[in-house]
Amino acid sequence: MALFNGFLIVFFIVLFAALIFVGQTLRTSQFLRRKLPLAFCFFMGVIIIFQFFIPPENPLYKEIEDLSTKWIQIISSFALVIGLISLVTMNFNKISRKYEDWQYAVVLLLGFFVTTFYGLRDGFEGKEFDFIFNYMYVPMQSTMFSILAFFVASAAFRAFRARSREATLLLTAAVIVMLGRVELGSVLWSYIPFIGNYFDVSDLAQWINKVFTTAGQRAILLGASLGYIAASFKILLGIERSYFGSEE
Amino acid sequence: MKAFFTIINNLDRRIIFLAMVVAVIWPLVTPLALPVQITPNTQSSYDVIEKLNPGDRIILSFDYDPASSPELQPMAKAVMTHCYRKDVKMIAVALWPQGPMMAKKAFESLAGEAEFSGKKYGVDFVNLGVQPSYVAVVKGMGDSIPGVFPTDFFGSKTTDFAIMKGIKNYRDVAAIFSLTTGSAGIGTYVTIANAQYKTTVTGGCTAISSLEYYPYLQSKQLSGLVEGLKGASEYERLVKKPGLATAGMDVQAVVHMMLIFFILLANLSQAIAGKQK
Repeated sequence: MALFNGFLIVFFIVLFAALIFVGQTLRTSQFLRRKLPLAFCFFMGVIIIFQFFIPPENPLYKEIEDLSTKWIQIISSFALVIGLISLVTMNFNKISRKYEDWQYAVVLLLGFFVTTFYGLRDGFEGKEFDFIFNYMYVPMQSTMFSILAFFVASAAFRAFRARSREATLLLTAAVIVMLGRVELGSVLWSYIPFIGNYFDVSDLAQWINKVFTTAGQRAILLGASLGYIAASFKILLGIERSYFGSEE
Repeated sequence: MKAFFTIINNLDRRIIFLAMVVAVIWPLVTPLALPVQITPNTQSSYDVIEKLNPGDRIILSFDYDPASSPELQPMAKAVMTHCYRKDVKMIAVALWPQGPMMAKKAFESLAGEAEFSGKKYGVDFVNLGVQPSYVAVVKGMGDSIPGVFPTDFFGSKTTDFAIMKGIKNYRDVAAIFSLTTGSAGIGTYVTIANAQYKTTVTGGCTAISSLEYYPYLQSKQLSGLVEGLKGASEYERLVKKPGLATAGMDVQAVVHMMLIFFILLANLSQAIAGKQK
């Protein structure tokens, strides 16, 4: 395992050096910088779209799927490496230039290197790695999420006001859904004269969710999908080039 | 009266925080033991597993991280309890980087219980880990599951496990159960595994994201949905094993009531103070 990890580290160092070299070459050639990536993007995009029009029984379908799946995973892995390099260099810069709150960057890098060290040394079964995950990472993330409840309470108190007809509708729907999501709500609802015995608040909340919210969700889903298709075409045809970087 | 509502209007948020602390701690110290009603969505999700035969294999996808664990970890344990009791084999995969660790925690937690002490890794369950690019992963599993996950989370060859014998792709699994917190998860399985490969997809998610999946429920592409902590508590009731979700629902009930109280109080104070102006 240790030997394998050693090879892995050497491999990544060689890889980064190669990436820097390729990067320098790309900077100087207009063809490599613009035309070739655009051609690649168009070619790959058309192939992926084409796959959706081939029946899955056709051998060509499997060929394209195999190829695309593997390449997407390889490229994603490289993106992860680039992300890690960016994280480390950015935080090193923050520390060396003593930017505001640079101390947090020290904690971040310390956490990053310690976790990576134990992860590479012992794998996912190591005691230290387990300890970091179970007793540091899990409580910290859960705490961050839990704190939201307090801010939501404070924000609801300040902002959830019936200032207009629309706001009143929103407020009413929110109160009904909040009541319907908990059993205590149903218990309290049953004490309301007349309507309490007619129907349960959880049914009313479900109805709001199933009819109004789902209608809205479906509209968003369709709209976003159409927008996604339009944006994809713009990228494939080279109209949208922001992914090349700021110089474009 | 005006003075009182002016104070309410300018209430220090620390008082609200303090009230929230009380609302959280009180039900944990004194459980309310509220009844749990089973919603149709949770029942449908439960039925998917209930209808499986002993020896059937399902994909249990851990698509969340520790931030969502208060809602989804009890849900995962309830679903795993159900699978263990039905002798349904679980192939755990993940679309989120932290997912395999969440799966590991859940399996380890159940392994400590006497009822499931006989369950073996590689025979009754396996943790295949995570692979980058969730769309490619879900699509790739339609062709070959061992191809996408050549080794398990701990580095052993996937095809060596008894549970993986005869497993090639989605056609060899009875269903997919995704525990989802974000974009990668139920939506991806519905649009690829169900729409393209006709695999039964069900799952559970955080309460906040549940409405995102209602269109899929109505189109029957998603067979049931366990929604948030409430859904998890319902599932715990269905498997007759109350746990953290059932305890957490007492807290959620009191916190919801407190929120409603604060909202009504704020609106009342604004209305009255406004009138007096």
